[in-house]
Amino acid sequence: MSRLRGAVSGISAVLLMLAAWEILVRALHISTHLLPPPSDVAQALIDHGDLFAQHGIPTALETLAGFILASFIGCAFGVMLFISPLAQAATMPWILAAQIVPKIALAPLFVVWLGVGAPCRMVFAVFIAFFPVLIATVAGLSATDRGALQLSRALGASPVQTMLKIRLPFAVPHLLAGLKTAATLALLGIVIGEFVTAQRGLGYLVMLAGSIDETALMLAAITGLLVVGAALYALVLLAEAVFARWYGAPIIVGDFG
Amino acid sequence: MTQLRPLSALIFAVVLLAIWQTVTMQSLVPAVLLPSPASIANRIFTGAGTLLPNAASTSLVAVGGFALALVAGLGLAAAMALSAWLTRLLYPNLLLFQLLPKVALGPLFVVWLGIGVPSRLAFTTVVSVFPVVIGTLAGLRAANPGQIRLCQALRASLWQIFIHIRVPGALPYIFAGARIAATLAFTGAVVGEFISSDSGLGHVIMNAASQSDTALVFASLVVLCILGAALYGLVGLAERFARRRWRSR
Repeated sequence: MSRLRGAVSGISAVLLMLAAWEILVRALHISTHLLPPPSDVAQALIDHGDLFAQHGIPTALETLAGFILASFIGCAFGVMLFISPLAQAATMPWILAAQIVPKIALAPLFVVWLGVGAPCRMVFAVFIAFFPVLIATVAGLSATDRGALQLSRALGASPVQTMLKIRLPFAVPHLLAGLKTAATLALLGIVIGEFVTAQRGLGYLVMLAGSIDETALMLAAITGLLVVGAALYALVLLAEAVFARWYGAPIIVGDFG
Repeated sequence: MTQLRPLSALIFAVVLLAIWQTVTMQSLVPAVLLPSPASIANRIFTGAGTLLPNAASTSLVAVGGFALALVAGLGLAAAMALSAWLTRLLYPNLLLFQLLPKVALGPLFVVWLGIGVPSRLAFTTVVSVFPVVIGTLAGLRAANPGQIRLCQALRASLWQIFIHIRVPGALPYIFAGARIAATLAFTGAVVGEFISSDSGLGHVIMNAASQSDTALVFASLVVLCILGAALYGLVGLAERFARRRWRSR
């Protein structure tokens, strides 16, 4: 009930904002070139439906592929770093340091290495998005409940069994938090890739609309990106719900000791 | 073993650089794809005349945008903390906006403000303001209600409660947001320069990449990493100072 009320209040807040935007633009006679009202943006979305299908689908698919690859690679490296303390000690400071530098700036380098096609954008998106998954995996695996570990040892579980049945399930809440960050970063990587290679995709459409002064089209393309981002985020939320049902929600960490 | 840990990271980096240097010296990889570490270091010195003014330009936009994001973010979050209906109006919109890669708004700022420094400053501010707002909001809510009730019972003014209870409690959250904002500020500045600019390290990187001067691309990236780490470090220093000043945990 309270969740429903929260959703209604959230949606009405967004609608109120859109209405205020529409009314202000019309009342103050702001040039539609500078800030088109939401109705113009919606009109552009409808008028150029084929254009959005043509550019939106590659962006959505590349983002999804980049996100999935980043999840698996990040997870695999996370497990490897967790298993080998030496590898973790040698690489983790650099991985954490990589989080504070603007990795986005490497985009043109990926173009030099991989050309201007979809593989380049996807590899770049994976590169941007896999760090939070890796860090979350290592953090999650390290945060296993002591009591659960002692119990599994006492019951004679093998290291592989302990990893699969205890450590990984316990790591999932951390991992899901990392995946949420990765979902937005994967889209960011694809958009930056589309900005610097400029051939197709919603990021390209944003740039193109900017260069031909079609601000409504630009905002429509940005709306398309918002839809892709929201869809990917919803996918992670769905995974979270499925996991919670499998393992019994809510996951209470620290209930064993 | 624990003493060896920081050392192992250093050894790893040295070994990696050594392999990189050997592989590139044997011409196993074309220098256009991967220049040797030595030639990158060399390019930093030979290209200093280009790198320094452009690094200054990027820093101006990033640091300026970061400062504006701090002011705007703190102000917005304080207003939202004081007014429940403002929170109810703005917070869902903020969350929705978080799903959008903010860098996609870059070309919009070009339409609004042209391609100069003001445009990139505004863009950088918008890119980096969100973590400050969300961090500050979470922080101002994190104050211990028991402490506040005690102060109210002791007839402390709203301002006294704000400055002595709410702010010290919020500091860790505010600085967590500020640290993210510091890294986003350089991202915003560089993306702004990618989209349209005739100065800055982002511009140098794009130019060098199109002219296959990969060593200069790497040189610019090294400078950019140093600048990004420096701003991050400054925020960390400010946090230590502020926590001591406010006796925050």
